[in-house]
Amino acid sequence: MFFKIILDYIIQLTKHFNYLLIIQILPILLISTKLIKEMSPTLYHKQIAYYILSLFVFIIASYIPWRYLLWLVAPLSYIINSILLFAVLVAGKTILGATRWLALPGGITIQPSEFMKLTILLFLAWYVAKYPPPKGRGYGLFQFILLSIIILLPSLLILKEPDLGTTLLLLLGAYGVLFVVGINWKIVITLVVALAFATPLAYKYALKPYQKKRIEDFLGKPSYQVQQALIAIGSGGKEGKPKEEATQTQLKFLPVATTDFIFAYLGERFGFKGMVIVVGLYVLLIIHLLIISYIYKDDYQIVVISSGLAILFFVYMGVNIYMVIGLAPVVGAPLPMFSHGGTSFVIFAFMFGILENLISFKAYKPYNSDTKIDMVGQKKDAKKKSSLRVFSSVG
Amino acid sequence: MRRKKEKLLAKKVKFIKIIIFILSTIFFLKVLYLIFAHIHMPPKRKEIKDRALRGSIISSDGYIISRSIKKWSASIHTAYLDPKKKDFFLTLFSIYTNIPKKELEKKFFTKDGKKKKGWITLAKDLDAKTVIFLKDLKYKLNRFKVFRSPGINKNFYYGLTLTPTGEAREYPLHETLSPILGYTRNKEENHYTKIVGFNGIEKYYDKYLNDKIDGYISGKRDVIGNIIFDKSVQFKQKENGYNLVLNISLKLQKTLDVILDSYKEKLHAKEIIAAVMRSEDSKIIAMTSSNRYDPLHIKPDEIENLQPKMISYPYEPGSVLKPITYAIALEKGIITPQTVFPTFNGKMHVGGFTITDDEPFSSLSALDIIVHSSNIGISQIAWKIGRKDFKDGLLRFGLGAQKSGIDIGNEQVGKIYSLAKLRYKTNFATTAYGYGIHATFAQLLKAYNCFNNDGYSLPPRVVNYLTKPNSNKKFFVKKDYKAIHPISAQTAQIVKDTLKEVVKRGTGSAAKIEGLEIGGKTGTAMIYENGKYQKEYHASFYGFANDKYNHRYTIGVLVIRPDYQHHFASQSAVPVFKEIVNALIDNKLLKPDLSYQKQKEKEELERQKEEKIKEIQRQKAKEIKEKLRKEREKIRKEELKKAKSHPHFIPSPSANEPDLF
Repeated sequence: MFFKIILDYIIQLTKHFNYLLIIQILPILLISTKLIKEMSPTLYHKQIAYYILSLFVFIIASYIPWRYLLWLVAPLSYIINSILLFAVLVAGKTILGATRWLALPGGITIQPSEFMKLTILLFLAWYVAKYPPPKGRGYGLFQFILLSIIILLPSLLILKEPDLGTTLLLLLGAYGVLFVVGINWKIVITLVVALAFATPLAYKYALKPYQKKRIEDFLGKPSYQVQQALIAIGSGGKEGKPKEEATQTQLKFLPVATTDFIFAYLGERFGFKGMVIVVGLYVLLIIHLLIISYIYKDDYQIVVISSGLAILFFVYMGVNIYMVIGLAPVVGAPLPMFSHGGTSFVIFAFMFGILENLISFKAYKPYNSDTKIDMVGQKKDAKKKSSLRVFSSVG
Repeated sequence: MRRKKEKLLAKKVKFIKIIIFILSTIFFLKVLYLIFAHIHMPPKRKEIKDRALRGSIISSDGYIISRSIKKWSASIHTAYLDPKKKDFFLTLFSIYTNIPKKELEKKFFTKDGKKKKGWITLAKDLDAKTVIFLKDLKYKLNRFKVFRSPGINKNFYYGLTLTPTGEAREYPLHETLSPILGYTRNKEENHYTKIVGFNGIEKYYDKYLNDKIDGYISGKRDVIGNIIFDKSVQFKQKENGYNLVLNISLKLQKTLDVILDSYKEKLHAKEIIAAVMRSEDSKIIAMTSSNRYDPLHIKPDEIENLQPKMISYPYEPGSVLKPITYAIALEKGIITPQTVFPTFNGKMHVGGFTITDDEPFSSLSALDIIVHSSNIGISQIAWKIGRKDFKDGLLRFGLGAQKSGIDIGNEQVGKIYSLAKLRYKTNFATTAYGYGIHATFAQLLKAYNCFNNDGYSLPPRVVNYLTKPNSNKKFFVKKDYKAIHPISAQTAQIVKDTLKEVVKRGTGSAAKIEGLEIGGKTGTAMIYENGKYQKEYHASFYGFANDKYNHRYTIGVLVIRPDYQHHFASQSAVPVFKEIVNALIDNKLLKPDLSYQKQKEKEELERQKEEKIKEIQRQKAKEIKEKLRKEREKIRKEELKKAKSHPHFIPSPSANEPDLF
């Protein structure tokens, strides 16, 4: 019986799995791997290790029955992550003037702010599913304030580190999700107007001098890094250059060419053509994610996770690319699933895993006589009952 | 209700899609701009210049009189200097360049005491020798990691940077040859100092001295800026400017310097000028002045000496002009040396003006007019010539408003009365005996050379030929170099004989030397200043000295403002002339034709002289040897004493043992 249930579970997963999503990601990974391999073989080996790790994480995440654990995992992880962020402020490790890391025994350092985007998305998925917005109108003021507190608390902790870039990306992602889920339009307008007024004040009083300098640099002459990136992209031309002639990167003019500025190397190596392809792949992925959230518009868990992923992808990609071509200030935003880097990649894989799991078990019914009858009758009730049955039997 | 919600979500998704589309469009436009916009990049090729130098000036006996050397500067970039090793670096640099450390430390700060950032020039005007040592130091400093990169790329840093800043002119013999050599000035061009001739020979031949081509190495560069030596590298050897080889020999020039200096003191003169010219080709083998200066260290009171007076000082020559008037008349066939003129016992009135002679005679032949320097006689000869022919004659001799053509820069010209003014008999007469006419020393020397060169006249030449370094080819500058023939060979011979008479029994008798053919004419002219003639004089003597072996030299001497005691040329210029001829004999340029006995006596004297010198030399060598021997013996004794206390000590060999060398 136990094996049958597991088998059912696996069959359900493989049957309803959204393969297109994975196929869409693969070319991005291939191009990224090629670029990283050209730049540094050691990083390439590391990257392969990350891929393998991420594959495991993805499979595990897609097998965890999130629909039945979210009520426990979401608030718990939110609380733990907030505590970790607080711990960073108290006993964090300072590198280059910013306190963002926690030193664990065994020489491992973790950056709790990186996990926060995952935690917030999980929390929102749980909360929105539990207290869905009134249909057609969106969340009212009270709910909105409550959600804002949930979002702003970790954001403020991260801002305190200081890490303005991550804070802004987190806020954009979270409020973007709320926007898709639905907020009363009056609140949206009020918020936009308030933001327009608050920005200059915030610039004057809230920002630190180095942050101001970055923004001033961005508005004035581009910084050294951005200049080099611009030269790299410009010299790539339409068709790009062979590896040996990509001097900007090979001669180490381009800084952090494997992570934040990998897009500039892409430009130098494969030219306009390559950039169009990569951006196109991202846009298709984002649109696909948005379509998923539209298809499953009744299931708020899927809506939150898929639109959250879409918005995170969009924001990270947009900020990274705009930063590389000198249209945005330089903040530490990697190109998602493209830049070299373990944590970010694993987290995205984890999120995709959750999404795949949620999609696969959207209409999960153990195949038995009851379900047959149920399938003809009320869908919703059947789903509830049947799923309950499965897990009760496991227990 | 449900449909409304659907619509809302669809709208939102559409909204996000539109945003994505707009942002993507902006991105692509920017990228296309980057691809097609012109971005300034540093050039991909690099060129290192190997600067060529201005040519040198060399005397006929091979001494360098003027040459150019490269100057370098040493600089560092503060960002690349390791602050911990700054003191170490400064100590070493101070030792290598001989600049006090304190001075070097000062260069790290601005005037208001702030720390300087960026490039600092530690030393300027370094010569090539120091730079060779500094290059060695640079290598060592890199080994000690005194300079390192503050940035990410550790391979790239600026060390001690040595750059050529320009040329400098050097005069190894200081004031020798100075007034005619001239001097130079610096000209800044693209942060590189160039040398431009400003006066004298340096100016006249500036075009040739500076006719140089910079060498270079050019090729692709690497990131740091070093040239990559592949097949596309281009080389060009540098080519320095022409060297000038002078006709002037340093030995004779120096001898003349000494003579003029001593006579300047003796005569209390303001300045003495003298020149020796080879008659047959107008080559100047010595030309000097008593007032010389070091071209690198010109003092304020030397400024009036900067212009060489030989070419830039037109003066009223006085009686020196008489032989020229005489020659014109002879050439015209108006007179012969035996033609007699009345001289009115030394006084002649012409139109309210009295011409006087120093020696009163009732009448004189033309030859005697020159010998006794009769103003009255020469005036009458001149009047006979006629003003037009007279002026033409003077011009043919190279006088008047024309350059002598000597190859020294900034040459001035003389002056003759216009034909209209020569209509007045007085003007005509004064011109005939050298007043009212202005001529430079070079013009007169050239004119006198005709008499000693069969009537041919050539512009004097200081430079023999031009040559490129490391090449045997000789180049000659033909500019202004044309022979003219103002008088016939016969006339020249007659004038020559007349001038010899002057030395034999006239005012030039002090110049007599046995065994040589010497002739010339004195001139003592008052100086016209502040509207009247002062009791200040120009005493000059122009003449020639020949020997039997066809050595012919034209020699000119001009004494400017001797004291009144010596104001006659026969007391001032003539003795200088004689000293110069003696110097020529000493330099074996002239060989007196002496009788057999006298020749023997002379040789004996010389032999004795040499013997004496040799004896003295031997004596001195002996003394030195003895001294050295004693010293060594002393050292040995001390060492022997030491050896007693140290049993393993080996003393140096005894001084009595023969040397190995």
